[in-house]
Amino acid sequence: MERAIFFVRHKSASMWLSTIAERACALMGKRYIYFYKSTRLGQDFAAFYRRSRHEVLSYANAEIHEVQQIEGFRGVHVVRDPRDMIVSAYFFHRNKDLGYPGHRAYEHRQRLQQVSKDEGLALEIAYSERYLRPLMTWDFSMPHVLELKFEEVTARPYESVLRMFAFLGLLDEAEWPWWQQLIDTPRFVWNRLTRRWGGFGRWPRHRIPAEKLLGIVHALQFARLARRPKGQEDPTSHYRKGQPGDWRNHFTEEHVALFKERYPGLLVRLGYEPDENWTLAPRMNFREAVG
Amino acid sequence: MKRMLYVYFGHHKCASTWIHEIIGQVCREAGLQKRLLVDPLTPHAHGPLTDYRRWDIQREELGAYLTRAQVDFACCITADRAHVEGLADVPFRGFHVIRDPRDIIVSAYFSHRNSHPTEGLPHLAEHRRRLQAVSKEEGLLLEMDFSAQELRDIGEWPYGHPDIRELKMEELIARPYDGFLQIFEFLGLMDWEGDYPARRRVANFVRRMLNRLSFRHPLLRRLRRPIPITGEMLLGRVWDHRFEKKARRRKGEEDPRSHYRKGQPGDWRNHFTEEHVAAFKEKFPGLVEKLGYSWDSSIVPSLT
Repeated sequence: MERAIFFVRHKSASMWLSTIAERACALMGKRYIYFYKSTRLGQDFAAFYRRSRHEVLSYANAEIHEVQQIEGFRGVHVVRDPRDMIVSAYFFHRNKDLGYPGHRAYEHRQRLQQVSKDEGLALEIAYSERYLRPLMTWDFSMPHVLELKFEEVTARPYESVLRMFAFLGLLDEAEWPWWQQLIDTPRFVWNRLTRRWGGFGRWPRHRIPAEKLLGIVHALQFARLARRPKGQEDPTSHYRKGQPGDWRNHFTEEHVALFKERYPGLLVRLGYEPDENWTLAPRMNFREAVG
Repeated sequence: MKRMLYVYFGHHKCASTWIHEIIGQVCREAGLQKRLLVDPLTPHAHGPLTDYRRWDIQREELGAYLTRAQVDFACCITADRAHVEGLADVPFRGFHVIRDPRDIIVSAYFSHRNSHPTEGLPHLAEHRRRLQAVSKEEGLLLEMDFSAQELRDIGEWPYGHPDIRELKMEELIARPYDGFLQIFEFLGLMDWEGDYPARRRVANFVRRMLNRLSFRHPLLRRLRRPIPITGEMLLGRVWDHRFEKKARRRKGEEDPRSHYRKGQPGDWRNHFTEEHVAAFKEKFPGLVEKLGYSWDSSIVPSLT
């Protein structure tokens, strides 16, 4: 059976999505890991993938040259408007207690707290290069990777997550009769319990019933996590606003110029703009323009 | 203290079968007594209501009747203003689902011509014979007359009632999971705890199973205990009734003989001619605009 990989990106619902994957795997009794480059897990995802036995993985800020080295998987990749990523990252990095003295994230936070928002956003445009650069070379035409946009995922979370799990072969689309529920309910409780001792004695189920998956998404619903309706801002929350196009409320012409200079062609490549002539003012017929 | 009554107010060809089935399954698991109320003369005329136990329920005694019958959730799928007036003495919360009236006509035409059961509905059997004898163009005009009472009911509905949430079918079928969550939140039936400890999960599952069992036979009624509705309980039933499964087709693909024919908002544009547009405007002046729809093809119906 093919393994499943969630290719998640910083400030693109990565925590939400990986939590759904983790909780679904806990019920199914599947081995799951969130891979990020570190001394513990290594700096090379391809090498980690080959030596690990996890059936489901999340890989943060994936790089295409590593993904092209591996096989035997199906994946889901979620991207977000990079301008919204930068605004979101700015508030996140400024307000969140990250790292330790000497650590890059810590130093970045210190700088952001000392400067104005306009200066901070300019700093963030440069700092976020580590997250945005891999998108400039990503292959969006891999048939075994489902490409989705953050904006559509957050607008239709239930439908999107069902689609992701169905694509990965992790969704049980068949009827879930009462006798199967009688078997599965203790199975799910037991599988969650086995995580306490490393998963020994798991009682695996290859696919998750839609009802259980929808229940997980519901429990993690944006409004529930952030404790406020979508579109209402709390600068200190991890789930700050979640509103597509919020960058227009924060960017200035200077930020637009800085962004274009540092990430030429990125928005066109991701399908967020039809060309490089975008400005702070919204286009009249954006959908027609991008086809 | 009087118990709260929950009510679904629906209309013919406004996804009422789909909504009613979902409510039915959720109520069975939640231990709520559901009752279906229909006017057999709909959409042609008004007559007494039936719940298939009694055939002479008057609209003005609706609240008293449902209270006596200890109903928790009433599905009034042929609703009109008089239903709401009949509930004046009963504490209730409800939701009302409408649809673009032009799509109702097209949907009703195909349904009445091809698929809707006519058993016990002589007025519909007669209408079917007439529809099958004429062209689609003529049939759509006949349908406007046949469904006129229903469209008048929708137009005369008491919009803005504080205890009734208004919804459009187009909105509900586009985002069914969010839609049903909003409905049940408005009704105050949702359990707002997201995560449960293992013991509560098992207890909840057992309770759901017992509630389902309790509806199998009157003697098992003692097993029934109403419980709050969890996210997975509700969303799982919406998944069970997804369009692709019910119709065995994707949304937008057509089967004229199916009860779930197409499910595509704005389908009237594929069937109406200029003559139909003129006839509709003459028979139902201002109805489209009153309900928040438009004749302008560039304006997408408001989904709020």
